[in-house]
Amino acid sequence: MNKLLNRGSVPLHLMLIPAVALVFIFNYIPLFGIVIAFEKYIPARGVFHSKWVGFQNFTYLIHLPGTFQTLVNTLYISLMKIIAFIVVPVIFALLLNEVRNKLFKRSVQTIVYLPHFMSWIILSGILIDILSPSDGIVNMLLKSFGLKPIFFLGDVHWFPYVIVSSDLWKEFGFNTILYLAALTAINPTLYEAAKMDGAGRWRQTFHVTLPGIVPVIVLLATLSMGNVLNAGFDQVFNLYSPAVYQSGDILDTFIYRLGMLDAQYGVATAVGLFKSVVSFIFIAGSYALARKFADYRVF
Amino acid sequence: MHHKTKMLSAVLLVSVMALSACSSKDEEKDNNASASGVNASGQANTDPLGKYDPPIELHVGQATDSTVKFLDGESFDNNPWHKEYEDVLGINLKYDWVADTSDASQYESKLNVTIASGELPDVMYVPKKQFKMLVDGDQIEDLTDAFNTYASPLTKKILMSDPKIVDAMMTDGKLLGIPNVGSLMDQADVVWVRQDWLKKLNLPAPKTIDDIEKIAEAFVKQDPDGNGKADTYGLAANKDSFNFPTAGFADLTSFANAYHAYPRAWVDVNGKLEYGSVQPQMKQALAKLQEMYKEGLIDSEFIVKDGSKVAESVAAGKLGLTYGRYWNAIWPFQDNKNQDKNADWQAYPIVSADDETAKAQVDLPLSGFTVVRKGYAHPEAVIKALNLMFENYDGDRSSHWTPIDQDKKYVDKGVLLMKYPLIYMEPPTMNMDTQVKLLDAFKKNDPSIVNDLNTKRAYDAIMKYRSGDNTGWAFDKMFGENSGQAVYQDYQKNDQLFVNGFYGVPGPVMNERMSTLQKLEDETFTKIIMGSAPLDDFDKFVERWKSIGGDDVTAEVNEWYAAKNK
Repeated sequence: MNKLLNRGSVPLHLMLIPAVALVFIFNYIPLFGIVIAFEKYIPARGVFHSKWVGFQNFTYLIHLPGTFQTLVNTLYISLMKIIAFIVVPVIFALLLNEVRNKLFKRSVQTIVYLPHFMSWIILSGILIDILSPSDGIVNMLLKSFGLKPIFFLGDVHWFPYVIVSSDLWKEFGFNTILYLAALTAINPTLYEAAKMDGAGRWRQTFHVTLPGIVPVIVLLATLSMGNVLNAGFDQVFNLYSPAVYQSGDILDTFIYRLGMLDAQYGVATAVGLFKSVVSFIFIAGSYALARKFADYRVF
Repeated sequence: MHHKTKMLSAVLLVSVMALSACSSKDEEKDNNASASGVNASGQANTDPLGKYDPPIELHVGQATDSTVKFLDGESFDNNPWHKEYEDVLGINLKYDWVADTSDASQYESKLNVTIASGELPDVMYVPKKQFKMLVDGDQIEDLTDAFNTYASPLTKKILMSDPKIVDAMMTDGKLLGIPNVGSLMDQADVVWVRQDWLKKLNLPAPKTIDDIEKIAEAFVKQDPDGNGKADTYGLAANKDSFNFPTAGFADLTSFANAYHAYPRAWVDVNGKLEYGSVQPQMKQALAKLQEMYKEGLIDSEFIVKDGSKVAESVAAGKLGLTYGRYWNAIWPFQDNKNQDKNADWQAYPIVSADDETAKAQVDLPLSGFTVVRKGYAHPEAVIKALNLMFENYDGDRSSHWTPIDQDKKYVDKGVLLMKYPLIYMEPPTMNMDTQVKLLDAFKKNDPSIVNDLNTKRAYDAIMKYRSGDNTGWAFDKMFGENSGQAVYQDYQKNDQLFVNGFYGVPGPVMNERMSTLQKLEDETFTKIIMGSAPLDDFDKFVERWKSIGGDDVTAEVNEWYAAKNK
């Protein structure tokens, strides 16, 4: 106790207060709204006077046709995203790291990072045009190879892959920068030592570079596990249509329709709560794994 | 330990301060509300157009749409109607928010958020579903007394013209909102065709569904715009294929009507109401659409295009065949005419697939209510605003208002002042009366027949068009000889309307289930049209629809129907 409260650390702890207050007000007080998930919530009656229905919203959800399908869609899309967002940026960062020409390296780094700043509402318009089966550039290419044009945004089989790859295109530059930063932190003497031992480029990559950035990979992978039920609302919402509900309708668009359009706030909150619980389990689980196998710790 | 308590109390202090900051703001607001309530008492004047002195404030959540335009410098806060309310009634309108109704689901989500937040404006327009939410939550004022006391005879006459509507506007014998009453006829779709293309390709006027197919085929394959490229579309469709009753352009609902299918409406089958989208007739309509899509007669990418995107194709002269309402002439066809003076659109009655005449489906013209927040001190202000609107457009004050409304600076820019009032409604037969008067005036060459604002507006525009100015063209196509309204006269004569059998306020089962059911419907129909599901999936859909709640909704609707027919 005395150690914790030694003179030097008290002012430091005091400085935490505004941040703690913010988190408390905006993250903890709203947690109270979870009770809506167990109510037949009517806004005018408020949280206290709406009817308490226990788990009825959850049983309603289980019996609602389509809940299972949206869950499967969400997992399918988000798992593909999680894997792609580890593999692609790592490889890209490794490749970019080998580039000698500084100017080229920097410009590539900036260009792949650019789409990150555009919103999905704009990108969806661009994607609809690019992927158009009649006059979109992608299908023009396919046609010039004598292939049949594909309606990427209207085809149940293609839609999830379009979602994953377009999101990857938009965001992978961001993760790449994180890995590049991690790469610069590797001690150059390690490379020298490896060279002395006769390691070529490949050997250096596998035995020096990769182990050097494993902590960052594990960190990002652990954090992304919390997103296992987030398949990207604004992206899917702007790109989907009734024709691809079967493979494209995700939990978030489902919640949107339940809550915002049908005003079934109780049910929508129940889905949200379900999402949070699952995310919590996944993030705790992956943290435990990371701790066991990569010796990664937050505390 | 001592230090720890200090720190804890510091944390608590900060959070308490933050909390109290929030709550004191609320209190302030409540004080304001009660203060204005005190000011209001003591008014005993029952004049329908009585002026508030001192003036009162009315906070509005305003619905707007893509046809609302303003002169430079004007806005909802600054225009002749805003001034009129202030000058005549002493009502100062303040706009809390303005939201676009062009996309119905966006407007509804805006309303849902507003209702959930509890921060209601004093007055706003809500569709039936949100109306029900507000009634259930007891969040709106009962306007029955205010209406009985303050509504002018003209207001009463227009609103209460149809017993069905009176029936639909009362909730348990009380008037809880001003119904937005419209014209039954104006909601019907007609077939719009690029007449210049039709002539160029030597095609007959559409009389059957096969003609529609033939015209679509010719428009796709015979290069009607003559640019040597296969870049024209056949029949217009958009991502919400059967968007009854909110659509109005590039919709396929009245295409289905050719097969006597009534998607999303309730049909009386042997004395019971049945849902139109699950009737066997619907399968026939979908079969034809699937066939047409396969042959490329419907834009292969329609499912990613909304109405305004389809309108762009019209303006660009790439589309010449669509189902839509009479007002399609002003939007989007006028844009087409502006860019291509040879473009010519003509309206035809919807066609049938067999010997039986097709009926265009319409909803009872009561789309929603203008409601007053519970606790607002002057609920009658809304009735007065309504009185003033009717008096200015259809009553004694129209001689005062006509010159303002028809001021050249507005007319030339195509700005419609009727888009600004707090509540705007037209007498149900207004447009059809206008059409009759106009034709009469042109036939007899007698402008004196034109004696009301609506007719005068159309008359002036058509005269302008005849003198070579294309900006008045749309009015000729809305009210002239081969216009949308001319087709409505045919509908009237031939009894070609089908009115949705259900016009009550949606019950709890419907509110809960309908959007899930509609999602299934949208998904199935879109897939069938695109050929990614076989036609026989329709039968599976019907079974599934019934089992996942459709039967419950049907039962609820029939309870209402039975009570109505008692």
